[in-house]
Amino acid sequence: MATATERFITAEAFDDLPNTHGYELIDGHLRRKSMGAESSWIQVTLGALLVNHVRAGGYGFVFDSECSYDCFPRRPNRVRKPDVSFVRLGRLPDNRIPTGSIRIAPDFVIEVVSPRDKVTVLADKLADYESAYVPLIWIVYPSNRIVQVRTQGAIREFGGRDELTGDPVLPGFRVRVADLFPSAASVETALPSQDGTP
Amino acid sequence: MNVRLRPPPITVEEFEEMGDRAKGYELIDGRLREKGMGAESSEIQCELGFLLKLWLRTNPIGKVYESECMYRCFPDHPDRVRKPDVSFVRTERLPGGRSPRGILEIPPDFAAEVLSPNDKAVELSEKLADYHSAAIPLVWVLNPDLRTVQVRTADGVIREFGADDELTGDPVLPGFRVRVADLFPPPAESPAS
Repeated sequence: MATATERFITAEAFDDLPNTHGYELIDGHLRRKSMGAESSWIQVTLGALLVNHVRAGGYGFVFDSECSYDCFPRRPNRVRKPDVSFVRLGRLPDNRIPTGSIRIAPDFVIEVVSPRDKVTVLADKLADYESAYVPLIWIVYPSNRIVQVRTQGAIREFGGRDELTGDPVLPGFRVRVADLFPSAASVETALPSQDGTP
Repeated sequence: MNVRLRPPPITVEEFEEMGDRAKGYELIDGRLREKGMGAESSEIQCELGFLLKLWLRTNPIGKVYESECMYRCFPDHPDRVRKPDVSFVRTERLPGGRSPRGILEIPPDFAAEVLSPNDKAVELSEKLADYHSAAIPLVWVLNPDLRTVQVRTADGVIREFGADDELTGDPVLPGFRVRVADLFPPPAESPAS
């Protein structure tokens, strides 16, 4: 059946829906976020590295891919859910994490591209982030192991042994591109040490 | 039985022999990959090709090719055949200054891709990585939805331009200039004037 009866949903109504798991709100309509196991692995890996760094320094808050941002003034009925996001300490009202959507732009977002993601849909998302002045955006391409880094006005791509930094948002955060992707090596290092076992 | 044999990979030579049946496809690692193309991107490709041809009338430095022109020139993937939506090669780089009958074995000096609604983000990223590996001096990626053009040069610099910006073809097409908005049909939501 066609979705002719699809209901128009405002950002406020989206916040009140019982379950928006896996969906963003695009101009009043629910849009499914695609996600495969590989992207999920990368998101958690990056999220964990980020949490370690951010908690150690008390820099702010890291959110997973279900955190909603309602912060696009020119597109009021859009709610985006970046795969990983970070908000600096001192920016959230009363420094408290809201129970619903966050109504300010994140300081850092990471998107992991899934095989089925359409390029125009991704470009639209990036345009939203840039219109909200998100200072740092990473776009991770697992298939060719490239990370595109967007800071206001500048776009660069990194691969292989390149090291990414959280400049200008988290200058001390550093990670090698190769370490973001699943490999035999990452499985080995994740295994518990065999030392001392009989 | 549920056994399905994967057909053997297609070689570049076989791809070239396919003639019309290869239309609309690239050859990626022995497999056919469909180039998504709608009427809107087709119109934009023609517009850019036309503007380039017009400019070349007074600056005859090379040849423009449309979206069926095949390139095999990717050092990391020698068996890939790519078809940029619009491409340009300086005459002095062509063997005998003429277009070959079949595949071009040298990278273009300029390649443009026009995004279609069904294009996959990862496939575009792979294509642009191939273009970078072939050191194509100038690459444009046209986004009709946002009316933006991403400009990539061989040094790895990536810049984005909006509708009101003017693009130049430097250093490949010195003096070629076009306003981003002039590459795209007028926005759909604007009232007719």
